[in-house]
Amino acid sequence: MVRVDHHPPDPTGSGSPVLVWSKLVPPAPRAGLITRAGLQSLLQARLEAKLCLLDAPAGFGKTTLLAQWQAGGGGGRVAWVSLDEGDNDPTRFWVYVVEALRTVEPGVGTAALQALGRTSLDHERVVLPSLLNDLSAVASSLVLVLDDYHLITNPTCHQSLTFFLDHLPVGVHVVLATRVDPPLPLARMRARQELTELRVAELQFTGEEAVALLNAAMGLRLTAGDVERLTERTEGWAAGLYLAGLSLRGREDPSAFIASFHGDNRHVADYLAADVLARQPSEITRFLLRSSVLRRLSGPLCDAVLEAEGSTERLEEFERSNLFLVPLDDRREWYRYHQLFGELLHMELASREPALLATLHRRAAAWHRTAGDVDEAIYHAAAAGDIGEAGELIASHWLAYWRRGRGATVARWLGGLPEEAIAADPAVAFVAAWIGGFSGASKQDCERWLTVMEDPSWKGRLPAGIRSLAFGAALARAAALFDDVGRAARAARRAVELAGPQSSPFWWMAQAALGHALYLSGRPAEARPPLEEVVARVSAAEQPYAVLTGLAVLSLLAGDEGDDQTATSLAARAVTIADAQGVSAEPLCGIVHMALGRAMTRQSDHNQAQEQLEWALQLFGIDSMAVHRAHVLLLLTVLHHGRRDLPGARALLRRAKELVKRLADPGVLPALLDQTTQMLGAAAPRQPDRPGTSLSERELVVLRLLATRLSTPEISQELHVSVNTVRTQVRAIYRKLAVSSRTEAVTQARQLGLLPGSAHDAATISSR
Amino acid sequence: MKRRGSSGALGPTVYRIVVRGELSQRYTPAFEGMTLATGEGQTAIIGPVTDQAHLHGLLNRVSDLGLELLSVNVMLEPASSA
Repeated sequence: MVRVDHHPPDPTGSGSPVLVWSKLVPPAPRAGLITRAGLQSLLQARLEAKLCLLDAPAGFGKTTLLAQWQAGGGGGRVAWVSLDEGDNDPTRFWVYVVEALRTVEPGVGTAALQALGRTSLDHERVVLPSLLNDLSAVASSLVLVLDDYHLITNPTCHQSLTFFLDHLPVGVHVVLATRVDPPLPLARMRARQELTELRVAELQFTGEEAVALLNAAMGLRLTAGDVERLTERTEGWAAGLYLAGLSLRGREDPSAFIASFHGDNRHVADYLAADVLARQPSEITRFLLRSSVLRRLSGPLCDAVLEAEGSTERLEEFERSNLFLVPLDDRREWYRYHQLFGELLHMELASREPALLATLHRRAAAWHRTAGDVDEAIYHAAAAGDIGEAGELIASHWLAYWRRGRGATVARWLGGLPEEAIAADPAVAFVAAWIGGFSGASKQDCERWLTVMEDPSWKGRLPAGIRSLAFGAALARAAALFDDVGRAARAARRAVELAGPQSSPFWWMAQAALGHALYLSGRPAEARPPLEEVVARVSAAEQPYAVLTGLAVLSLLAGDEGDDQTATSLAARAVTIADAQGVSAEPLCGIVHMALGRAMTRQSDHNQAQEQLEWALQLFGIDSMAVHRAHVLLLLTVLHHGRRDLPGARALLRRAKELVKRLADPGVLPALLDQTTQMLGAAAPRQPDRPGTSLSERELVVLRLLATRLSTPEISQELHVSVNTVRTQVRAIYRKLAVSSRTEAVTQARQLGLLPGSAHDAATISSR
Repeated sequence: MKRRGSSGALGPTVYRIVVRGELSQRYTPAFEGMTLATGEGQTAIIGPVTDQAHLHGLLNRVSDLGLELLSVNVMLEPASSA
């Protein structure tokens, strides 16, 4: 992880994600705003709980409150993260959280960071426990502030944060500033008194605070009545009061203005923002409007985008006169607009000069690209409608991000492009199909993208890591089986033929996929060689998915041949590697858990088997893993049968059957289904709830002989056992059939179908 | 909201989103494809909404712009096909 301030150096082609330092620093407190002492004490008091929620719409001064509080020493040691949409990538989210914690406690999270550096992983199992352990050893309390949490919408982030909160050690407190109630278990936390809140009611400006803001801080001289009217009109909304203050500067008759404003129906921000802008010199208005397309501003960036000079000085001046600008650090190098004002400015620009937007975004994209900031470059390129540029960046950088567990970031880039754009660019279409396939996209969607790749006339660049479009399409079809084993096998063969181990990092994946598909096609002898080659020749660190697939399928093969020891050791090895590489929660690694689960079933370690198979089933929950899902259901059926849970086994079998029916080409699964059905059928008699279901083999043999004319001693001779043995068995049979005589036993057995013939056949035996 | 396939509605549903405060026409580009009608201290944002994702996008804009949401109602269902 390369650490930078904000100005990433020119790229050396590494393309790896960078850490933006300014996100870890609270905005510097600004002159001209008041300190809300009462509110700060309230915040301090409410911090006793695990989680303190600052929950109010935009413009209520949440960030300002927190920044001032922190600057004033409140909270003691405060770790800060200013969240943005990019942090919806769970890996990136936790990297920032860990790095923030390290700013106050340098030793924590070392192991967590290392784990986060690998491909997309299960944070709850791998990253968070070690982080939480580190935190529990911390000597004095600390606070973690997450600002703008409403920007986080990825359920995975919410889930992992919930886990984090559930296991938070004493002495660590979390503050979330958000505009909407976050989807965390708030009710539960409230009940346990682990949650405190500061909402609109608390955050509204009081009359006194309004006076302090307008008269003292902003230097106006308003009457008490005027302040009261303003507070009433704005309903204590901080942004509104502040805008009103700006609007009143230099006015000769503030009271008149306030009176008319008070009686006006227009939306506060609309009214005031228009007014404030109108009263600026045109130079300044021009600067404000044009720079509003930027998410972060610096002097050089503004110079480039506005094609002007002296932006650095201008920004400093703006900040001094408090015009909407928020510095992002102490060095006054980077700023951003207060979100609400930025929105208003942007809207005004769109209203006045819509044609200019694309140009401005384009210039921003170019600047960020040179600076090596891929994420911003792609954002601006897409916003400019420069699909070609955005596509090129995505195609070049996707692999570096995916390899480091940043698939969600790539998905976000793709989400910023219109579908027609993806459909027009085979390289981007590949990325969309690949990322989509492993995150729940449907077969139709993936197929749509893959068909785009079949354009023979494409002479443009290829996605990173892919040797040719044909290879890419074949690989994607091989790796994401969906519901068609035959197709996957053919695609895998094609992929293997189209490239070689040197030419693409993915060639080994194609080999492994081939072995797997052949196995599922019921061709074990052909499946072995490619799998063994992968396992022998490739290191797990380089090609985790290929090696893991190889080991897992070889384990299944060993199990099929009755070599349970090898099956277990291969599967166990695979799971260890998966954990070490941090990929055990990837859908592509479900097969590892499936193999181990099956091996454990055969070793009768039912609990472990259950855990592994259910984990696999969960991982296979996406469309592209339908065949795998059916396979796991069958293995679970066998497990439940082994646990003597026949109703459970039957329910699973039904599900498996339904699923197999719907698969386009289920390969060898129907045969496996039949086998499993038969196994269940033999275990249970036709009327499972009736007595006589638990007769052993031996007892069944004796029962058959009971239906003949043989006496008990004759039966014992027939079976080469003692008479006593036979008598014991007969007693057991009577008990299990709930009868008390030989005749009844035979009748009952015939009724239950344990013996041929009808119950009404003459009982030709006399009881002895 | 009627649905067909993975791409969305049978035909767009017309929604009426009401926020507090009368908005000037400057806000129109922010709600592309919709009409703004003001009156009595409120603004109605009216227009065809393709699907749920579109609707939630509009509601997010309302929130981002610091507007107070008063109501969201369906004005017109698309005609169902025979």
